Amino acid sequence: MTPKLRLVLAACVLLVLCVVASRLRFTDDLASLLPADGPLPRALEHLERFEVADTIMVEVDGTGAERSELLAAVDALGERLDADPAIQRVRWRVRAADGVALQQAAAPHAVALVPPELLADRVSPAGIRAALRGQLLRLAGPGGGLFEARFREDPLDLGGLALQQLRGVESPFAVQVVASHFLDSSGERAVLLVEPVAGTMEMGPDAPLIQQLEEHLASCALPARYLGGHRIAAESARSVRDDVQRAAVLGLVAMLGLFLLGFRSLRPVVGAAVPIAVAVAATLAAGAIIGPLHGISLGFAAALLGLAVDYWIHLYVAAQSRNPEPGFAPRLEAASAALSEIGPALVMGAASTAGAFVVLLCSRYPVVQGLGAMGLAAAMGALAGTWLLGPLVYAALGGRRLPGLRLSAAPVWLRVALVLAVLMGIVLVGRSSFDGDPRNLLPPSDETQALERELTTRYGGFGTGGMVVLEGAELGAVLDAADRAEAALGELAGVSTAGPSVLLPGPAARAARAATLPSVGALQAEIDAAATELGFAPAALAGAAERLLAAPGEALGPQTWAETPLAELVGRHVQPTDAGWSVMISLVTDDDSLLDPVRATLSAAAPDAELVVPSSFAKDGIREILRELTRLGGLALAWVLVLLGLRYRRPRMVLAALVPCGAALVLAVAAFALIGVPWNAVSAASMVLILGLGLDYGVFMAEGERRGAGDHTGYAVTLSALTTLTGFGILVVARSPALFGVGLAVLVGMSAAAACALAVVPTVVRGDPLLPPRVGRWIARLAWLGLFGMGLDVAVSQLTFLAPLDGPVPGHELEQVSPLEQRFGPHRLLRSEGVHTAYLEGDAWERGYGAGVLTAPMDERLEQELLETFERAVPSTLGRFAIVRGALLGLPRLDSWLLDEHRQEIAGYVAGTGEHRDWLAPGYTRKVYYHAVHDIGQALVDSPLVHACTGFMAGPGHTADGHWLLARNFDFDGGRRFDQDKLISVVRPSDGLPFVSVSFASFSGVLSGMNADGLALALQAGASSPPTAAGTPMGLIAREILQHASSLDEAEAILRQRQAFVAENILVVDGGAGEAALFEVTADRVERLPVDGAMAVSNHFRAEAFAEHPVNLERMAEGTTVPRLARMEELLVAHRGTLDMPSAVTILRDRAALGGEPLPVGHRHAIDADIATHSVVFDATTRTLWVSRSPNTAGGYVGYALDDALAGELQPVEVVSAGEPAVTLGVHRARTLLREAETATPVQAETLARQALELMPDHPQPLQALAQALIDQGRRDEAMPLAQQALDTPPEHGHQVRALRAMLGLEVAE
Amino acid sequence: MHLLALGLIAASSFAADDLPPEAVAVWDAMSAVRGLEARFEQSRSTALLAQPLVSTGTLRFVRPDKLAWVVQTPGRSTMVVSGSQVAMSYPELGVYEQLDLAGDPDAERLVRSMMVWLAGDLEQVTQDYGVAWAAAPAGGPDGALHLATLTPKDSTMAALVGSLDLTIGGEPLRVLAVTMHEPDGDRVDITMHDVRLDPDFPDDAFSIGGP
Repeated sequence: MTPKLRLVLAACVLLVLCVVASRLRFTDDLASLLPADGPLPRALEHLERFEVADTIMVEVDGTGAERSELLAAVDALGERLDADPAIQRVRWRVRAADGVALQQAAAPHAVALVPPELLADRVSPAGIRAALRGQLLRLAGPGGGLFEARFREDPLDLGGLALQQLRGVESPFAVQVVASHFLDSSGERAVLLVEPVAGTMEMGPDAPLIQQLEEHLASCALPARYLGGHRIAAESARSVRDDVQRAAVLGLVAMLGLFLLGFRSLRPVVGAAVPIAVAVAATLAAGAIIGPLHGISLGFAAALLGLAVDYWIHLYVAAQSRNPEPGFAPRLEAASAALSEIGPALVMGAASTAGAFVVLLCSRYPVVQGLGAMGLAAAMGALAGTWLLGPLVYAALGGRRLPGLRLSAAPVWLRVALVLAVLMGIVLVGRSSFDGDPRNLLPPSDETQALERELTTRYGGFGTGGMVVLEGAELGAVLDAADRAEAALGELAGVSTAGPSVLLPGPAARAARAATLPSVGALQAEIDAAATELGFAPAALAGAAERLLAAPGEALGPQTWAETPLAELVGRHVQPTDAGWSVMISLVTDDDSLLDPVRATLSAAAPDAELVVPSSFAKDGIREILRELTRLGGLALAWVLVLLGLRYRRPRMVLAALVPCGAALVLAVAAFALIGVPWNAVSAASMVLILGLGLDYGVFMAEGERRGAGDHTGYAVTLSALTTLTGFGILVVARSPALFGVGLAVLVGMSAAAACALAVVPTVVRGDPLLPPRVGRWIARLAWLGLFGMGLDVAVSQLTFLAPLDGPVPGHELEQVSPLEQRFGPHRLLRSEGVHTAYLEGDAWERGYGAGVLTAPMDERLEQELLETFERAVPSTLGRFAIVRGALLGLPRLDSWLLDEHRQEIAGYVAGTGEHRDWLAPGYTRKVYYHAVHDIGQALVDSPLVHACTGFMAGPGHTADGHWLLARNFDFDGGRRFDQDKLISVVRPSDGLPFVSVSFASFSGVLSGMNADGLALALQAGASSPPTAAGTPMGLIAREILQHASSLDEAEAILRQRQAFVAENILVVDGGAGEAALFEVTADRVERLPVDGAMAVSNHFRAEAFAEHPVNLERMAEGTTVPRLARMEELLVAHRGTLDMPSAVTILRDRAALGGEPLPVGHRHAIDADIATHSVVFDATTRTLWVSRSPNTAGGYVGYALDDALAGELQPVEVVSAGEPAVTLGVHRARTLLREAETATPVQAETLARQALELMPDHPQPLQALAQALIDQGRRDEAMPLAQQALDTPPEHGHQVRALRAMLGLEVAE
Repeated sequence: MHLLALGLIAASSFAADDLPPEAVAVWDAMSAVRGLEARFEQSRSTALLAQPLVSTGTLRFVRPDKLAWVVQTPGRSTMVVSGSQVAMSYPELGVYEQLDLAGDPDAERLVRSMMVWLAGDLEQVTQDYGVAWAAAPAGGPDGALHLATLTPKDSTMAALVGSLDLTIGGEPLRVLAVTMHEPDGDRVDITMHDVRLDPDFPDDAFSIGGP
């Protein structure tokens, strides 16, 4: 081809591409990346419609200033913000006109807006008199006559009641209105709610809104801060910009250095621009064809332009290796010859890459299709640019002689190292994890995170955790569904909702309210009677009832609030759509695991409701796209294999071409696992680059080796890899996880690909042995060892297999009788007041089967959480495997120690739930051994995964009414799910006594319970040597007592009859006989200690026979049992004679040390250490019980009467108010942070420990963690005071004392 | 709810009536008072009630915009105006409301009109009311000298308050009693006693705090 023809062709191609590319259009609509149908675009549509998270909170801090100063500063700031055209709306005070408008809107709809119980109360005779008395007070007050007209209209002030309801929904934050301003609870800080015109998606690194806002805040007379999605979005954009700038500078310097060293000239840099330009034009043209184009698609495609650089480098190196004479013509001749030489490789590389991208065109995701189209165009453009213009450019520019390197004969050790690295990588791949949460791609700065925590603590939930959307043609029907959904979700502990039900109750709710009203005649008669009694003139209120009960002139709807401050709030919940109406309920929860119960609740209450959770839908979306990429990747691989097979027709050559690509993918994934960093969406997308370039390296190297040009091909591959590393690998210096991930993946992946291309491909092409014989033999031995291990495991599994009993499958169907209740035959599961209650009856198999069907989802969640806790405690997979198999072998045939009844119930349960997690052990075997977890774990008491319970028994002389009480906290660190999914089982067995047990799904044993004869029982771990032989799990012995014993003597007889295998404190109260005892039980001895009035119990033994046992003494010295017992005994003395259910709850919530000295929250020396998975008080005399509601003891208690429950009344009879759930949840969060700190870098650990310390102030654990993090950073001087403070607090356990003393350089006693 | 009521006593202005020089002198004298504290007794005669509703309490006022109206019997209620802030409280009903009049000129003017007869501001009075001036009739409060009858010029206000009779007298001159005639025939009589002029008020006398 002549140069002129090349130029003409290239010009034509470029011209066409540029014309097409000129039609390129961009969009910022994320929906354009997704299929037109399906849940993701719907979720985006909902988010956009309801404008979630577009409010900025501004806080003005007036601490130390006069109130008037604070208000003046807020007013001035509010006025300035209000005048800013970039701000749509600012709310910072309540205006008089707002109140008037609200009242005028609400008054006609008062009956519809007031909850039925308040309405019924107001129209009762007493309510009417109270209302009229209030009206008299108003008439007598300042300007009282001005109320007369309104009084005549609404003598019962139903409008006032309606306004009270509305006030609760005016602000989404916990603020109080003082002096007409929004202030925090201390009254020292004021809040402004700012709604900018621009959305969060429009925030760039230098967004004018942010700059203006910060200027406004800086001019405020008092310190002012702000938080919201806009700030986070702008920070993220700044973070990316800074990272890119830093990487670009470093990359440019490195690239120039590389070209100078590698080519001894910068001319190749200029030359590379030409094929890149063609590739860019092709990519943009493809974008224009598939457009409009989103920046994300373009970002993916940009990475593929590296192909153009690589093709140019190959041509340049191949031409230069011919050492052409100076001058255009000789260089053109050399370049043309080089192009002929590398042509097959170029075509193969481009064809395989392009083929892979063609497959992506089959995707249903526009984003993937776009990637496919642009990837195809980039590859073709790079090929065309190199082919048409490469020789001309080379001829025009020339170059300098390349250094003579032998790169096709890599040393053996490099091959061995690479093979071993890949083998290790394959092992590590399984440990890699994926973080699909887009919030973690660009996390906010530490300052913003700290501010978010502070403001969330002060003002409650910031933003929403998700939303429930309901749609329909008729607004009334949609509002009814929303009412049902909101009511059902309100039953879920840990989830709070905000919907339109207060502002716009549905027709069904309004009708229900109206139904509570008396007739006009009856109401008028009561009003007249009350008016006469209170001194009103005769017939002064004639016709009042008719006016009150009359239907309003206009139906209640969004238009009702159009002229009030609530219009915006209504708009956030109710929007018209093309097809009718869309109603949104916002959800706030701090626990993503609650989303499953939310879905289940919604499916029952409002089956058509859509649940949109921004974090999870984004995660799900990204996962789905990656899943699609993986599926299509399989197709692409098949295409590449076919192409390579057609070209080479020899498996060895195909393998050689694929080796760099495969090794790169494996080692890139393994690198993330090795450093403990999860993959994210961005780093995963960089796989496209690794795949494309890795394939090219393999093809080029294989082709080069085949034609005997391995050296200069290797040189070109090396330079290509180095340019990629300097272009993308340099991003490893980025601070944002998103870009760091790209940098790490490319750095490791492309290094591995290049190394394999150089060291492995030539060997494979030549057919030489890859490894020295000795190394090969060792690898074979290791493979045999692995096979042996697998065989051994199969043998152990067979040896330890427990055969389940069989039983009939009941002929019932699972029935959803209400949003919160399911039935399976006679068995029921009800969620009420945030607690699950099950009613089970019949024989053992029937009960077990019924429980399995009803609680299968709970069981799966619990087991999942238990295994995750196990994984945290024993991070090594091998270690966990060994423990599980060791337990099975160490306690063989455990079910032989179980009663038939218990075996049948467990087998029935497994049959009811269905099998899952067979890899661990078969279902029945697993469940039987789970019943011994308590026994095995309690030997390790005061360590994670185990119990540290505190309780008491008290009777006449100590209780206020002479009743016998048993109260206890069941502390278990197995996971929060055991608290959230606690189960109250009301059991009516066909054989034995009916009883109630408080534990969790799948557990047939008893931890806390009471039977119909008034025998109450609780288990608390004792101190014993680790079990050496199997026995009956203590929970099942307790179950036998509860089901078959009516007295202490009968309970003792069962204890002596069964053989336990660990030590236990068993608290037993006989409410009927009026006596109680503590049984201290070991495998070979039972000691009965009668209770004289009252007795506190923790986790050590006191009987003479056990008191001096070394394990008991060690437990007392090392653990928390002694301080907890001492405090409990102190509180029993303090409450002597006054103990009742409420005071028992107060004791169980006690957080203090002996003498009432305060302890840091969450300290395990306290009775309430925020770990109780259930806390319960039994009144054995009246057979009533109160059970805690999540979280721990802080969520309130629900009360039940056992007789009522056995009669089928599973609803709680009373509810005790919540404690301090925010404190408890803070402790949970702090413990999570401390766990993360254990595996974090010292710098990260310091941040995490400081965050934990904020949530658990003065607590020794975060103090110790912080001190350790500082020491690890060489900041010992800062660490020592913290360690000393932790030692003085005191620490919770003995081992912590020793660690702290060692840290301080003090003598450590054994 | 309360704001709506306050809104109904709005006033607007048209040309002021000419007053006799004596009346101008009396208003000038009253305007010298910077603040006052008094006990009051209010009797509301209304068709709603079989008997007049009598209430007693304390009134505090400081020019130009501070007012505390505290009703003590038959039940406690309070209205405090301080600048643009208004607070109303009915402790026995558990009702406490705060309002900001800033940025709402109509509402602000309405509340100001409640203080117009205390402030002795003739210019303001004649702007919002027609004023008739006469000698105090016999049988009025001790020391009564003059009777000023104020008729709202604004129709909205007039729909609520037919007229206000201010009985003026005492030494120094001040409003001794007020009678409000409502268009529907209702009537409110307010008499003040134990009046202290320009007293020292405690710091929190007009504070707009919490409930």
